[in-house]
Amino acid sequence: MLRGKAANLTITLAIVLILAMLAVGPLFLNTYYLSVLEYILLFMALSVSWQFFSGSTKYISLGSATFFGVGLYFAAKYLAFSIGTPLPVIVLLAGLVNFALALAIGLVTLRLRGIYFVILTFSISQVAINVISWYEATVTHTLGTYIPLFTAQTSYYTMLVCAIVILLFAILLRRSKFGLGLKMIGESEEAAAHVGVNTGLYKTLGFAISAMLMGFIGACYATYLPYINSDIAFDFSYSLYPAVMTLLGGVGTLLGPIIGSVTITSLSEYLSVTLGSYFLIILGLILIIIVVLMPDGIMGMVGKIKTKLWSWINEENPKKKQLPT
Amino acid sequence: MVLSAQVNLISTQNLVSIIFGGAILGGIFSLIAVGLNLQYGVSRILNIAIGDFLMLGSYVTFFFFTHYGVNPIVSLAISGPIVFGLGILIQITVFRRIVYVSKSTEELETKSLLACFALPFIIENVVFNIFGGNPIGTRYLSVTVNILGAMFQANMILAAVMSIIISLVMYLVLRFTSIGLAMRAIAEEPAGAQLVGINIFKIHALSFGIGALFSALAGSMLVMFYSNITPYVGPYYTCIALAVIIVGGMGSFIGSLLGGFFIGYVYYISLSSSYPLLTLAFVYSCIIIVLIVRPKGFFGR
Repeated sequence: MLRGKAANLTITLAIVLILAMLAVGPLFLNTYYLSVLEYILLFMALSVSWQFFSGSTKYISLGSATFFGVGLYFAAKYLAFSIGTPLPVIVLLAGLVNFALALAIGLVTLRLRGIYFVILTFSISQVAINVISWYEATVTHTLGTYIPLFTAQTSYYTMLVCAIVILLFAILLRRSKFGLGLKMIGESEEAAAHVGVNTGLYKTLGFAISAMLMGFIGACYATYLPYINSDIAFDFSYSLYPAVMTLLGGVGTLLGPIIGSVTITSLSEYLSVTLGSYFLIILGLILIIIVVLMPDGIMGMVGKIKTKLWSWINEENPKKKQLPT
Repeated sequence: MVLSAQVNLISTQNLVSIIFGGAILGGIFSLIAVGLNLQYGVSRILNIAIGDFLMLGSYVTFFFFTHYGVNPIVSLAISGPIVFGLGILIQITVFRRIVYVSKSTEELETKSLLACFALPFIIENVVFNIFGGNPIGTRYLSVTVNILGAMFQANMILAAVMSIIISLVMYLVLRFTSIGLAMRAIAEEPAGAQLVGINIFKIHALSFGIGALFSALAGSMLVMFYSNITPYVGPYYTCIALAVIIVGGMGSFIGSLLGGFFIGYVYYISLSSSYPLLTLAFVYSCIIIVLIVRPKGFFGR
């Protein structure tokens, strides 16, 4: 096993290699594989931003679709009705809208814990779907929005930059006072409050930041889709998959959401091509197996194997231990 | 728009229609919710897949109706036990293991919730691959009955009355039998119940099965008068049942019974008002408002 400088060097090299491969990917891949890659990046970014709040504080949110959808809708409307605004400005604005929205939601709802919080966030996303589709059907009389087309390359690079920014954000905040405070809330909220963590402020801000990141992702994804309506933008899979992917990878770890999202997205893409309508059955079975058999996810299993390996390597020969009497 | 809705609400015929229509829906909703509540109250598993057990009940009834001409009321006795067995099987294979693994109640609740989100993927697509995606219905006893000027279908009234009877029977079972006593004991104090010799794994499996049974019965009765049951209808009824037990209070039997009627009225009034598209939004708003104002629900402990 590598330690110290050698390990750092290997990790840096690996990251640089992956980034370079992702950056030059569009030159070699056809449109289908590019869209698969973009899909993987999308869910990776979503899982990382889900993990940032829900993973560390253990406030399981199934409302990611609300924030993702609001970002997507905002960007789509903006792109459709005003030509000439640069894309980064739209993405930033979408994030800010989400920040404000999540701040308002968080202030009211973050008193609830456990299963109540899950149901509440889920209901909020459902209300958003229903109200928007009602509004479009009866007030504006136009269902959905058409988005001006972008090339596959533009869309891919937008998502790549977004994913990298979110990843950097997560890495930087992880060991900061803020990130550690969120983690402590997850371990024990009472203890955190006693040590002096302002739990209310931390939770609300963490929720809002996580929502802002999801808004960025949604806005970037608007470059990929030609048309959206409320059912596409607020689809429940955008709430469920980030949670499941993070759980598969391992909650509370940096690599967990990344590994989980890459695994599930590529697996479901492969299975849906090869198995057709049976693939959702397999996916459901996989999800159940994850929850039942791997409580700490892939990273937990890796950790277990690692400690076993180390103890096996470092273990002294049992015969030596027996002292001669 | 608003004015016309108010005028509509005021006429007596509409009032009667709302009072009975809401009660009919409420009876069926509370049957589903009683099952869901039993599962949550006893084993702390919030079964998000309950709507899919309902759908399974509908499909079993439909299968026996079309292939063997079995009367839907009689096939309650077929669909119920089949889904009951399936529920027990799922509890033993999936949820018992989660109960072992989890360290705290909160962890158990979130983990089992995620497992429940995976169940619909399997159930819905298995049914889809067997029966296809076309909507089904059996059309049994569709005679209109005139109640004080408002028209209702006889099968809806029958379903509502039977739902209420089944719920009340369950109440009596919970109140006066030893199994009911064991269930209440586990809901109150799991560790203590184990200490006095109650086999909690058996009771967990039984309560999960009964929850599945009740939703299957509701599904069998729904298929008599709704002809829009598809393999993917489950989440819709899950959401309604969820709203009912949140409003009534998780773990409270009376709460889910009365909450069912409350949500039934909300549902029916918004359906017959001038905003029928917003029906689900109103139901979800009930969840949100109750969770913010009084998270325990009206009758929660």
